[in-house]
Amino acid sequence: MEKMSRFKIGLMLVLCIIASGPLYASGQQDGSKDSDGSKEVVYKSTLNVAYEAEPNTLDPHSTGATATREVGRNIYEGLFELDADYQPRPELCESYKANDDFTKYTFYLRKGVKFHNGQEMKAEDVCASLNRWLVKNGIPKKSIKHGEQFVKVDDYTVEISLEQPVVLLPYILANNSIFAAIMPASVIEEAGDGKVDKYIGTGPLMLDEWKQTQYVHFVKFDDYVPYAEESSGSWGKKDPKFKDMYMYFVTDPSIRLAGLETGEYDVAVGLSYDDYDRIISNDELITDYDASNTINLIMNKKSGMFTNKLYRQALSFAVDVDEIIAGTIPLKSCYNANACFFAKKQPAWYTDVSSFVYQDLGKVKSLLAEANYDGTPCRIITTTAIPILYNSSLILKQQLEEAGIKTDLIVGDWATMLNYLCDPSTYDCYTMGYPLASNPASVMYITSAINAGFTNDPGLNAMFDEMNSKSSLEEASEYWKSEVQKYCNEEALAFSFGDFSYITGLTAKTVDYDIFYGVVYYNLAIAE
Amino acid sequence: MVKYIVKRLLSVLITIFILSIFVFSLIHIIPGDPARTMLGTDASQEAVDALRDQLGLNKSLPEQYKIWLIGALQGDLGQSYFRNQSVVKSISEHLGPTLVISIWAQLLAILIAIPSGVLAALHKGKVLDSTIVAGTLIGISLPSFLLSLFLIIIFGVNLKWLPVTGYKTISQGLGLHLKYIVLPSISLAVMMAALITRMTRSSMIDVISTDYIKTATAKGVKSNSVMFKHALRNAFNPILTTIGQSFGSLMAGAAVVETVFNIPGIGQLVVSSVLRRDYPVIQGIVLVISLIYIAINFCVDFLYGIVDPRVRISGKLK
Repeated sequence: MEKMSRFKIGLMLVLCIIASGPLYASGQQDGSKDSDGSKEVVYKSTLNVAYEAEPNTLDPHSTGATATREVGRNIYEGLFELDADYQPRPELCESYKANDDFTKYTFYLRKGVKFHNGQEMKAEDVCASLNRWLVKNGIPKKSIKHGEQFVKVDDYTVEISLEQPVVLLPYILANNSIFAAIMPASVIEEAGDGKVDKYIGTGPLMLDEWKQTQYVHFVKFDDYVPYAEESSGSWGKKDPKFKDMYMYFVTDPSIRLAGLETGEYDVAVGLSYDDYDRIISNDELITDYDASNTINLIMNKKSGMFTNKLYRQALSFAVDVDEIIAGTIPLKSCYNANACFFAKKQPAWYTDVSSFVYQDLGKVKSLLAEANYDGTPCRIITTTAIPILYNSSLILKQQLEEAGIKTDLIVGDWATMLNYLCDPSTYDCYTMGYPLASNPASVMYITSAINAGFTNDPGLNAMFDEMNSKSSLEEASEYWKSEVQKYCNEEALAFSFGDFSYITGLTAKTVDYDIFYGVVYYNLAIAE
Repeated sequence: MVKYIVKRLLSVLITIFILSIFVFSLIHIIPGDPARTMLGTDASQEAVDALRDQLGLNKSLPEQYKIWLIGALQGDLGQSYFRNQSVVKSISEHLGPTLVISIWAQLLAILIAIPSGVLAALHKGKVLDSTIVAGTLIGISLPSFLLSLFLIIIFGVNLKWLPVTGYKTISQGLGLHLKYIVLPSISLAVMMAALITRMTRSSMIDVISTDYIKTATAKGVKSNSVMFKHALRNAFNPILTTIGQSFGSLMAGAAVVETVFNIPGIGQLVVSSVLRRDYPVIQGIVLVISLIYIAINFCVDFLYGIVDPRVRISGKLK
């Protein structure tokens, strides 16, 4: 009798849970009133974002990983930031000047800007941050290569004197990969040579908690000092309408979408292209994308077959760029096939390279014969951890085989692939995704300062110096388009297959949002 | 009895020692460098080398193992390379969700499996038996991640009855906690229920055909009493073994379900640690799971004595 009673109680408990299911769906709906006189909009005070990966570190100077940047752009600001036209605009400096030959820059900092710890941002913080960024980061070393340092002139003025002209310095400082984030000098001093473990910036959101493998919790920084009335790209007005934001790490795209559909998440990034139809047919969701990513082919130029220019050129005529990107990104509206390193929406740097990069199997045959190709397989490394890399590698393999170049596809997880990338004896080429560069000095796969294919071409290096010594950005732009891009393609130093976008899903209650190198979270406003 | 326990403990220690060397060697043999994984391709080799130095990765493998072993013997499993906290803290934070979901899944499996197995045995060869056996085949064949996705679509996305992702602790509210664990527990329970049902059915069939059961029935003992007091109790040892083994598998195999439902459990922790090459965490988790398996085996052995008096009596006679 007693056992039957216990059984009945247990059964009732289970039924109660299932029956009360709909109650969970009424998540957080408290918002803050924002009256504009004629209409009151109540915004959600807690936002939930489903993000696809957890950052390995939140130290913005030490890595260009997308996940680190996605968190960091809310917490930190830099001297410059990119607007929607990919142009650098002053952010933490109110103005700057350069001398006639771009060998000396002076930055006049905004006054009264607060860090999250209440301290005012001053020149020593900017110098400490940027000098650390120079040490940790390979990209600026392409241009700032003689150990130059940022120095304090007074509390609100910073200067750098350069041995060689660098006309692109504002672009480099606005670089969207390894962020030139400004943090307190005291945090840097405490970190020493290691990683920072306090994440204090001037941005509109503060880091409240990083719960490993689960989420990052941001809270609105009430003492944020704005500097513009309008926003453009990542630059300008930053006015969070929420008090808290949780960025959950959800690795499975179908679960991110399911969470968005059930209302557990307000935003879900990196959704599967296969789910596009399902998203757009759901009236409770909206979707958007911004092609700020590129997919590229990197060749090992330190060891192996691609140290020989003839093989690189053979590769450039073996690939069909359109087929590779179409096969990798199944949604046509999400990509632009384009072998230039920049997108058409970047008129300052974009140029048509179709006369240099096109498929011609006859030319491949003659180049291979000239190089006395002996059938040695081309080792392509890739990882299944990132589908676009794996899929593009499969198509690349097929195209090379059809062109008469034998291949060997080496597949591993991400950590294994990273290991191989840094050892030139282990591979010949690989495909990789990079953020769309804002300027030539930030095109990571042709700068010699990092490991991307161990590019260190003397001709390219000389051309970069020449470009940086031009007397204006317009001249530098012309020089890049007419000479440097052409040289890169003729020498076959690297390839781009085009720019593409991931799909982002948002709740249909979203009032205001922007997507530029990912969701601009601090300007996200979702109605109750 | 004391000698038996000492012998068991000694064999356990030797097993764990050999396992720790094996796992340590394996994770260091596979390609991948935690420092490079943390910093990415953009970092200079100098920065990577400095980080490797900081993490102690430039020491020889025997030296690294010795440092870990000495620490482990004192209860210190080291520091996670990525999480900026001790391995012990990382594991303790993640063990809770896995244990909770595994226990609920196991309870659910037992609640379903034992009555089903008994019924199947009692109606052997009939429609009910065939239906239950077919159900167990489906339960064993259906991958847990597929079942998870079906449950998410039906109960989460379409009906919006239950949340599809995340985990809430009991301290955040019992009702909320239960809502979050229902679907993952069911996903894990189905296969366990199938296995336990099959073992229960098979074991009951063996016992039902024995003479003492026929005698009890002939004497006029009530059928419920025959089944539960006599037959099931005598059939329980192999069922108990299956329950014990399946609980261990639940703990280790929750990784897939935890990944699908985004539950911050041990499974998710070990997957992320392996992908990142967070060696101290991997070593720590292997050690903890080994100890859990051993504890489960001890409990099962102890329960044998409670369930079956013959085990207690034969122990005393010895």
